[in-house]
Amino acid sequence: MPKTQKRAVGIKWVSKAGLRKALDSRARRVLGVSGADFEKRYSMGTLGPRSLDGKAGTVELATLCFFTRDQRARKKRKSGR
Amino acid sequence: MPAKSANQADNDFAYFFRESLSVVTNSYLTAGREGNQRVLLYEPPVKLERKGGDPLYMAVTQTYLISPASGGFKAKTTSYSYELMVKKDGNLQTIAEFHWHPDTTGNLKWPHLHVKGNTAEGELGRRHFPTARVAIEDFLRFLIRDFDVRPRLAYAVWKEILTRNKREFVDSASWLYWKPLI
Repeated sequence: MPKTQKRAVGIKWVSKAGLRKALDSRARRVLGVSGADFEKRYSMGTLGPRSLDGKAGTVELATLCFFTRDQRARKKRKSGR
Repeated sequence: MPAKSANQADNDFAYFFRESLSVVTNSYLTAGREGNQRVLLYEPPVKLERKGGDPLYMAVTQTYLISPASGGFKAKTTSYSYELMVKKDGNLQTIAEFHWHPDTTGNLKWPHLHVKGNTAEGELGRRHFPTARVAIEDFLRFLIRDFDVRPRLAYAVWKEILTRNKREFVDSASWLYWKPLI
């Protein structure tokens, strides 16, 4: 961190639950669906690249999904195959 | 120069980003992590005061990765989205979005711009106008210069912050232009 500067906006680190809240807020705002609904559709692969970039604000939802999904569950599924 | 530790690389990157944002807002930035990946975002969008006219709104999503570099650690941007909006009839409507999200859309890996505009060709909002890599400082200066967004700080202060942080970005960026467009 530069020592000469003290000015910056505050930062609030949040857990997965906090990010899910942000995902939900954004999904409702841009698509009119819940964050959980978006996550489900995204993980099922029903939203392709064209759908994701087809409406303003949608691609950021997919970006957020990486941070909200349960990594342990995903790894468990993979190792089970 | 690479940071000495992963934590320092993380803190430095977030600090520059937060300092640049302080030019137009004092809203808290939300941050999250997953492994060595980080996300910084504004959701809901933050209100921006203007010298005249209706206020504008800004949404920002920036992701980055902390990775070992020569003799230390470096934060590398993995995607960005800088969105400008205006409120009409109680709803936020997009004016323009600067995007780079190579991992999310595999067939669209280059940085691009979406502009909401109706032309003789029709609605342009989902066309991808190729751009160079856009730093948050470029976006903020664009808001101040072209949309009369009112900086919160004195001219000499905000100009110094954006210039210094943009220089830092240029010096440390691993790329500035997307060479293989297709």
